[in-house]
Formats: sequence, structure tokens, C-alpha cells
Amino acid sequence: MITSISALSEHLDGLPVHSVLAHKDRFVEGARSLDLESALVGELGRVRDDHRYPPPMRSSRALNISAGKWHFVDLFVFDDREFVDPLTTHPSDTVYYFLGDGEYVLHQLNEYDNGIFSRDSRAQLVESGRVSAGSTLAIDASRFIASFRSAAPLLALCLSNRRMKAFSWDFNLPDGEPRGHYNNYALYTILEVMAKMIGNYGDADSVNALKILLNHESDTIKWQAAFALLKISAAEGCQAFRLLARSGNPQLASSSNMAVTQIQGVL
Amino acid sequence: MAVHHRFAVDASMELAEFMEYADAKTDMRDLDSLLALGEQLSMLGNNRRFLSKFLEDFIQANWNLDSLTATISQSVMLRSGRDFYLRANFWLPEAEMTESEALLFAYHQAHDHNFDLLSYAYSGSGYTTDLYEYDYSSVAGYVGERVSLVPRGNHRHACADTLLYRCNRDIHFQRPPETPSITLNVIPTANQYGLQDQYFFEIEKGDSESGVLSRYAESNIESRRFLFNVAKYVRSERLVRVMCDVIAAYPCRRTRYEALRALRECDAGAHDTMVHQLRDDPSPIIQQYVHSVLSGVPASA
Repeated sequence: MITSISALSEHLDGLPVHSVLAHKDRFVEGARSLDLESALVGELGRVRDDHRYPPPMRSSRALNISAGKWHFVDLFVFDDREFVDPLTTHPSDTVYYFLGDGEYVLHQLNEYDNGIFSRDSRAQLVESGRVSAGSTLAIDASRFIASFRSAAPLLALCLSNRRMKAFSWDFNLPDGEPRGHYNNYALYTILEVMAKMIGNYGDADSVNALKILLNHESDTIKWQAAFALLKISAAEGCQAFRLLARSGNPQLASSSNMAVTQIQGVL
Repeated sequence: MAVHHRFAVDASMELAEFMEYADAKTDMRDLDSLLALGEQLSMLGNNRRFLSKFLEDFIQANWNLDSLTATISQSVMLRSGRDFYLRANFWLPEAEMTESEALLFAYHQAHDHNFDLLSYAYSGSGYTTDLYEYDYSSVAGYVGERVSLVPRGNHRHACADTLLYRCNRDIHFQRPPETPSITLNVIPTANQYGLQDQYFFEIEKGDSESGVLSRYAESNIESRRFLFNVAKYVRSERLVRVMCDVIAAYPCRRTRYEALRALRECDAGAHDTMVHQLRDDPSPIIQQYVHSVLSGVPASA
């Protein structure tokens, strides 16, 4: 029996399977034991007593309650009276345990691959309903987006994976069309920017570092690395784009093929 | 005004030498001493290989990590000293920014900093910036407040230039550079504990002598506000007592203000009592709020 959030985190850290969806029942046991008032009074007290203490907010409306080795437990507040437009994908799989009443809608992601942006992807409304205190909702971030509204602010405990998808996507609420996507990790963005900078100011000594990025999980980082290599050396750039032309991402493959053709025309 | 200077130095310095010098010789709480460090920063800038080497090492060490909490995406910390840190800031031209990158840059948004900042233009054409001054102590600090500004012209942060921006005094409105640019920034940590705000301002064309405080930058103060906004939905005596402690005596004026605003939704009675107790509070932002509540005129955002 899990009797506290810290016991829950300790328990989850010891498990071999690092998936929040697989441990929903354990999470509910822990969530039921949360002394919400004491948790909040504790955080406010730390702020009051030490101005150097940064409250562990993970966003403007999510207070981190526990940070395990592979998971987070956060207290979320949903205070929107209407469903928010755009719909944004969840950074990782999430299990919600609700502490109040509200409404939800569930959109299914069709023709969707987090790492490959496509205008054909759609978020399609498949379910709507009510949540109440003590109810749960488990979301597979690769397949669904859940969003909430409530007349009164709705609190929920959320269990999510530390490991995030590479990108967050926005979809228009009315028609489900994709609006754009952006990096979930600040690190990914800085790697892109660094690649651009090295491409402009680096030299032959920088080639090895850029080549490493050709193996990154993010295709936008791979692309920037290849482009940077091209700026330093046409031969290295051509070789990099040849590699990317074999990518499983059709957009990356086709753009890289075009790049190879153009570079060969110049060489 | 923000001080710009070009130190005529030919010598070059290694990163470790610079850190050692700054730790030993610079009083980071003294603006003259910080500005004088521009000479050594220029020597570090003359070292044309150290930054590429740092970036290459950074990529090799970090490329496969899941996350890196100690960085914001427009900059990377190069080294941390006793009471300062040194970072490299990247500035991309408008046309070269991806959707993710466009979110990072504070281009076309007038803002101050809640820390002193010594900047050296290391490479590229450099961003251009309009400069203003204001008096932080005369600003209450609420969104929508009109703030008096003194325009101080504009400046291109060109390669090898040093600029000193003073904490909560200099405002700048930056435009993207023509070519990708890098600056090296020395940032003293003395003011970095979330007691003073960093503001963004709307400055209308044709009126460079005033601006409107439009929003706050991310900071510990904002994290405290977010915490209050979560906590206010859980009503309890213990929680209200702590909120009242913060409102009465916290060393940051806006943190007190945000706690007071949150208390209104948490416990209207306790809020009204605090408002009456704070009628003679010396903080302008508290005064403005108390006055708006007592007079029935809605408070600004």
C-alpha cells in the first residue's frame, strides 16, 4: 500500500518499467494519500523563510510535488472556462488524478509522428465527458490530446514521464489542422543554434562535433548540422546530406537529396 | 547611460586566465570595477579559438542528454566564478530563426535587466539597440503603469565593442543582427535572487520619453506568483497565515503584491483586513493596489 507521494516516487524509481501508463493504479494509491494543504503550506513557508528559494514550478500552473528518477508528480490547476485553442500535444504520457469536477475532451492524433511534421496530421475529437474528484484519465501522448475546462478551478495531480517527446505540436481546435511544432527541450534548440554558429565561425577542427549531431534524434538538429558542415567544407556537407538522404523522414530525405544534387552541381 | 567602450588591446587570454583575473581583481558590486574588466574581456575576445572549442566540447558532452535545466536556449554558460558567471549569447538574424528559436529572442521588445551585464561583441555584425534610461525607484511596478524614460540614442554592438548595461536602469530595444552574432556576457550574481523585477515596456513611436510597463520577465518573482495562483484555490487557515506573513514582511515588493492579489480569491475577509493594515505601506505598488481596492476603482492587471 502506497501511503505518501514520496513513498510513491521511491516505489516507482525501483521499478524496471519506466512508463507512467503501466503504474496508474499505484499512482492512484499515492494520490489518495496526498495532504495537499500541508504540501502547499510547506512550499509557501519555504518561500517566506528564504528569498533565494525558487518554488519548483514546472509551468505557470504546475507545481512539482515530487521529482523521481524517471517521472514527475505535479499539482496542476486548470482554470479555463472554455477549451483552449490551440490544442497542444502532451510532452509525455500523463496520468491525471482529479481533485475536483470539470469537463474534458479527447482528440485522437491521426497521421501523426512526433518527429516528422506533416500538414496531413489531424487532431480529431473522439470523446468528451466529465471528470470528478477521485476520477482518473490516462493519456498516451503519441495518440491523444486531453484538454479541460471548468466553471471553478480544477486541481489535478499528474504523473508524467521525465523523458519527453522531441516536439510539441499545436493543432487548431475547430478543424484539428496542425499549426506548427517546436522543441520540448531547450537543449535541442541550443544545439541547433550552436550548429549554426559553428557553421559560420568554426573551422576544420569543428567538423567532428558537427558530425556527432548527424546522429541526433531530432531531424531539425541533423539538418542544421549538415548545413553547418556544408559551410565549413563542401565535401563534408555533401557527405552529411547523402547520409540524411537515407532518413526515414520523407521530408528530410527529399530535401537532403535536393541538397546533394545542388552541391554536386557546384563541385 | 549604458556605457560603451572599445578597449585597444592586442593581447589574448585563455578562459581560465580570465576567470582567475576576474575572481581576484574585480569587485562585481562596483560598476567602475566591472567596466574595467572589459579590458580583460576584450583579451579573451582576441582569443579566436576558445569559443569554438567550448562549443565543440559542449556538443560532444551533451548531444545525447534528455534535458539540461541550467541553460536557456539563447545562451550557454561558459564558466561560473565566485560572484559572477560568464556566458555566450547567440544572436540570429531574423531570416535564420526557426519557430523554436524565434521564441527565445527578445528582439523588438524594450526591456531592462535585473542584473548588471558587461557585454563584449565577439563575432558577427552585432545587434543594434535603442537605449533608454529610467528610474526603478520611481516605478511602482504594475502592468499598465506609465514610466518616464530618457532616450539615449541607438548603438550597434559591433565586433570588439564592450557595453555595460546597469541593473534596473538601462532599457534596450534590440534589433536582429545582419549576420549570426555572438556576445560574451559577464553577469554579477549579486542581484540574482529574485528581489527585483525585470520589466518589458511598450514604447510608442513618436513618444520616446515614456513607455508602458507591459509584462514581467521570467524570474523567481514570477515563480512565486505562479505558486500563489495554485495555492489560492486551497482554502485553509494555515495557508492564509503564511500568505499574510509574506504580504506583511517579504523583502520583495512585487512578491507581496502578488500574494495580496492571490489572497483576495483565497480568503476575502483576510484580504480586506490586510488591505486596511497596509494603507500606509511605503511600497508604491502596494499603495496603488490598496487605493484601488478601497476606492472601488479596478486595479491594473
